[in-house]
Amino acid sequence: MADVSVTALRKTYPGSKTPATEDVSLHVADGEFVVLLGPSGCGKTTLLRLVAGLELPDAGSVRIGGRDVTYLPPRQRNLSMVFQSYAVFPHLSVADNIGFGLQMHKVDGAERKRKVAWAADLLQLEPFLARYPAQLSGGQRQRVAVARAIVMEPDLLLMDEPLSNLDALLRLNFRAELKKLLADLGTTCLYVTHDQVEALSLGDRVAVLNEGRIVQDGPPLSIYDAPVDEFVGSFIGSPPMNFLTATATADGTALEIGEQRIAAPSTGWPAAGPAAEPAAGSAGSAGSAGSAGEPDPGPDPGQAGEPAGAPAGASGPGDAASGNGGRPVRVGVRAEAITPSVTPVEGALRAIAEVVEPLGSSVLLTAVLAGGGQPLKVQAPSDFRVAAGADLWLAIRPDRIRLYDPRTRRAIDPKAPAQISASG
Amino acid sequence: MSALAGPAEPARPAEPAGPAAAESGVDRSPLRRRRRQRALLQLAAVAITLFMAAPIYLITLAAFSSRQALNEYPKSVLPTDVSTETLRGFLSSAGIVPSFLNSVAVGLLAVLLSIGLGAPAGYAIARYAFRGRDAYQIVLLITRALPVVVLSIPLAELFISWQLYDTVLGIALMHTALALPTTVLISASVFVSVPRDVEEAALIFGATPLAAFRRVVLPIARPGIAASAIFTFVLSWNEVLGAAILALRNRTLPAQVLGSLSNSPLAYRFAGGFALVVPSLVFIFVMRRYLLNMWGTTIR
Repeated sequence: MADVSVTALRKTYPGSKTPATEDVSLHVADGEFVVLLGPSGCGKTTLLRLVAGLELPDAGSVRIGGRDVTYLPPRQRNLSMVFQSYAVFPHLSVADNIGFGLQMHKVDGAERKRKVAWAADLLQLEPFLARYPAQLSGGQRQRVAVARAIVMEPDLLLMDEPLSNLDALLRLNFRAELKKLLADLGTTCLYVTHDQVEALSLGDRVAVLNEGRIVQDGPPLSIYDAPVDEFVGSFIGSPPMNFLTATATADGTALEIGEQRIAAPSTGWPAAGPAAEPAAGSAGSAGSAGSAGEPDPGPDPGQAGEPAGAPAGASGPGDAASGNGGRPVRVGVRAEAITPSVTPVEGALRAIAEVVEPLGSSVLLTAVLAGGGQPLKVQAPSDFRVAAGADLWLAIRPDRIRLYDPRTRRAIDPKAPAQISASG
Repeated sequence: MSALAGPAEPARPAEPAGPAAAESGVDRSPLRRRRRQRALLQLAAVAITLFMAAPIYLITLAAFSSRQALNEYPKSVLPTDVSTETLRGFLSSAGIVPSFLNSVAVGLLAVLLSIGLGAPAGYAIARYAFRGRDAYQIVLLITRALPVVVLSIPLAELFISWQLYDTVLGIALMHTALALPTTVLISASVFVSVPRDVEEAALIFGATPLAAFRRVVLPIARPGIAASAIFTFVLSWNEVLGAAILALRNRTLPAQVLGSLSNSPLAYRFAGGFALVVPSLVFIFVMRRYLLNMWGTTIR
């Protein structure tokens, strides 16, 4: 077991103009399970391969358990890896596959046999030890790949989209099994995926990457509830977060969306009234501070970017918002934070149901706001009934609203995440 | 195919009244066409097999017949008069056994050299995007455009000054040169098909790059390497022009047989043909296992 520190890691592939990872920093504590999440091409697999030693960085460093391994070959890093394609050795039996690493490290026969039996038992592979990979199903092959990785008792376990080649039901089962297995073993784990459900369900912490940078890094629910920018909000969550263009009213207690009004949240505004521009700037520096990887990944990424001398956000909605009259904002709200109704509701937005999709456990509505024409997704309880084209009233919980700057697309007050995840 | 499908057309309207009346409305003609195509495919396979096997059978038959039986007319196509007299006569002819051994030695040496040099080159082409890779592949193929004769005369002169002339190694070197382009290209395509992940997994789990190649990549690539070995051996076994130019006394079997063909009896020719065919057949049979058998699954 060991912790992992990645510092200002940069890699540009030959022949490519844009770097695959751009000064990425990340700290994984001993025994922690960190998920690297991002769309394809965001640099998450490159980051994993740099940690593994399969690629060498142009700049920056990788430390495992305090030891500098930046330019060491993979075999000297004491880590294991599970590949997306399983990468089991087709010419070796299951037992020899699992024991391959031990054999390479010159572990003697009896000890090797004992460890292979232990790993095979953990992954229910005993009946297949004498078989060859061609005689196994995809799920069994992935078990072999995981057994081969854990049998080494590595300092660090790397996983590169290990579930993405499995079919849906198998993936669901194996995901839970993997979480339990790794929690029991307590291995430090770095896990790459593009599947946000997988990231939220498995990670102690999730680092969201985009265009070679870590844009947000925190516990899964804080990332889900309080995305630092519109990219994270729309990438995480299914359906993605809704973003509506709005204007703050002069007294700051309400938001005007088209010709309608809803109550404004008490948090999410800049900490000090006239500091609208610096606050947006501070949101930017908070994002890069997150990617610069403070050793303490606590749920307060805004601290580094807070303007000096600004009062901490204990101010009421009136004070906080008083300087924001007429300020254009983007309102971010999750589909499940909206309560739809077919009868008029005080303080709710009037809309028209465009598409109604029953999903079994819930009903997904695509609605268009009356007046403004802005579309949004609403997740209703499974027994909610409405016909397409009918009128809807959408009540939005003010404490679940996040405010974004329409120009930078970043959260206006980066301090808000902590408060929201605390209240929700 | 369409001409064959023609006669089936009139049968279709009658079908609903037939035994398949319960399935009325089901058009069975595609099924019948499929069966017919499969039968034709079988027929073609049998015909090709016969075409390839018949000369081998006839040569074998002649090689195991007595001299009298060879001169009989009409000849029987069944082995009626089996005798090893012809073969014994051939084998005891001057220079046959040594040239046979030379051929085996040249063939095996050419296989070793071409794989020893060609497989790493193929691996480089498969794994590394180096400058001039495409040009290199084309140049490899262009060398094959040189006729053996053009290659052999300068080689003979060079070999004489290097004292490689009239040696097994000399002929093996020339055969290696002939086989290398295909060995490189075949092994490159074989190494491309070995997933990179598997090699990287070996590196992660403690193998040095060399150990990863030897313990993981090479075993997986073995069937393809075997294919190029077969190719090289058969090429070397059958190559006669260069072998005849580059050696006088240490000749390979084809060169030896060719040299004495015009002034030898019919029996000698059949026995010689048999001796030329059999070893490459045996070699292919031995290596076939690697071509068809892929770790527990058989490619059919």
